[in-house]
Amino acid sequence: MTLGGWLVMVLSVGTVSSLFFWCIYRISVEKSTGNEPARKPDAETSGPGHEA
Amino acid sequence: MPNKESWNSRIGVILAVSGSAVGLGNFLRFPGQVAQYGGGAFMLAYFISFLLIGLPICWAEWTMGRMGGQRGFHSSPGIFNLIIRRPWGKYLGILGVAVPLIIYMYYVYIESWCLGYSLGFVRGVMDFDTVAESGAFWSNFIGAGEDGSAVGFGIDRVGMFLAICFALNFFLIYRGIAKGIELFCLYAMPALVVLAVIILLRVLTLGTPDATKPDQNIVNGLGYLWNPTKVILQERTVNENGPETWSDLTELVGAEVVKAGAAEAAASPDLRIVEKKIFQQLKNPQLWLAAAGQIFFSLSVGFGVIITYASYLRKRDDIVLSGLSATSANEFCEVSLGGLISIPAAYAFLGVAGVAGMGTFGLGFNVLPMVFSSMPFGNLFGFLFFFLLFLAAVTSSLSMLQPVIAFLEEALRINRKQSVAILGLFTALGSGFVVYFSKDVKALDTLDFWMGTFMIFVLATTQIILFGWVVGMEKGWKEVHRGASIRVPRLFQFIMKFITPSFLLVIFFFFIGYNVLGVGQSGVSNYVKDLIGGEGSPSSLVARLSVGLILLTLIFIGLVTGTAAKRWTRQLNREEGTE
Repeated sequence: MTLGGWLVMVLSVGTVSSLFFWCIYRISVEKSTGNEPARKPDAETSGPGHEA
Repeated sequence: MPNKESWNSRIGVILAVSGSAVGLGNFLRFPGQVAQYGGGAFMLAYFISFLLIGLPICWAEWTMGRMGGQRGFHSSPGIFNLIIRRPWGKYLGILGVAVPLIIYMYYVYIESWCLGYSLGFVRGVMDFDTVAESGAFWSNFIGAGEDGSAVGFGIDRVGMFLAICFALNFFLIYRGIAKGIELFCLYAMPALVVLAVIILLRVLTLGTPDATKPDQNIVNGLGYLWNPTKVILQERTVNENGPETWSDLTELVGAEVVKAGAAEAAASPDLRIVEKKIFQQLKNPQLWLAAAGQIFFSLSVGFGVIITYASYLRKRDDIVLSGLSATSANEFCEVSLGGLISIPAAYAFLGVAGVAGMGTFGLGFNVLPMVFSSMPFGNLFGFLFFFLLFLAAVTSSLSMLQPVIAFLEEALRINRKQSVAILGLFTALGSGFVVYFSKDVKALDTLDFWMGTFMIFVLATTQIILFGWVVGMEKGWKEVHRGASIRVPRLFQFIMKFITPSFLLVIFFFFIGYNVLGVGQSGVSNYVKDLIGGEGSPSSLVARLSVGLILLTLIFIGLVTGTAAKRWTRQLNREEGTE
């Protein structure tokens, strides 16, 4: 493997891994600070397919 | 109008969308493409395509989906009807139902191969000395030798595994968005990553499996994949009354191999060594086509899936960070895990000759089973790898069913049980067709080309034009950022409106040129010849029937859309007080 190959691999893997772990960090920070909106479980209500 | 269903958690929707995206392409197709087009050049085109096509269409789909969901629409025809407000608008959306439906019909067949192979390693029957042996097993298992030969429920046939996959998919889809898809992805996606990391560690510690072939090692395998400059040994052919031509013999990887190749070339006037550097490779339009195509298939943009998944979000759910997280999870699985497993492992055992030119199926179901059966604890790692592929396939196939379920419920005013029953019947007939016409996987290949490749370009282009020009960038930008915790750079306004559609149209133009009209080949592509016949190549009945299946599906979805259209429009008018 050439030096160029190592560089391409490290840059490619590093870029996508950094982005992925940054996203995980942002989501976990928002979750821990309570900024994530509260959600309710499935509820069978009306929609266009259930129009009266 | 309230949503019928919704996601239980933010992490759930992110894992479901990334699960939809992560599939066989991440672990088999991507590394093959990187190796074929030269690591550095391909990755440059890949990242540019990610920024100009992947992310913009992804955010557009998330946004339009959430907009539709707020008005009670979860299917592409319903959402397109809401956005376009013209009688023809809803018909543009039928591809958003037909594409995932048709892809499911053959994708579940491939999913069942993964399950069959993983259990084959558990049973200890996957013991192959050569790729030819494992290829023969694959051909027999899936019925590639003769039409109808895949039908049956023996342990060495695909039928039983197909039935299990069908049952699992429909059980989960019947349970609904939160209790079925989300719950499954919450466990399957982390499990998939853990399995991939275990296999990756095994592959990276393989070293040199055969001491008599010191050049076949993991480092050279990684070099074959990632080296930006390709060193090729070429052979001269002298044509009668014509110019001499040089054709590629093999790629040389590793200092010793290059040195030996150079010595060989120096000794023979009919051999030479050429270096293809990164910028030289970037001039090849096929490379850009491959990189853009990989981004499409990998991120599941243009499939009609994300738009439906996003329609179950709430009004102020963050779609910027969620969309970015789902795409980055897919990229992580593809580049950081998939890109380091299959090709280096195969290279370490077989060298360049064993991996060059192998397609997705060749690499995944012929080469790798032989590679796993040759390594220490091969049955364990073979099982883990194919089970990983199986999990990735299930999270993807589930996502293909939901857009159709949403459409049937919305258009026919039926409940989940009825829609699942109709879809079950329809997909069983379609998959039955694919499995019966298994010779040379002709039906699968034809459906994949016309629906899983061609139509995806059409749908993705439609979606981004819809977002940039019909919803409009001003309104669209506000919608993108409703409830968002991070902001999309302003530059993306320009990209989404002008660059992405233009880039897509250029790529589509090249796609038609190379892959349909056969530019640079002896005539139109084989996919066209299969339909209309050609000199010395008769048309294929199976290919024609496959295209017939696509047309029938489109007509069926169009008719159902037509019956629902008046009700949808009446409902919208009533809500807006114009009726």
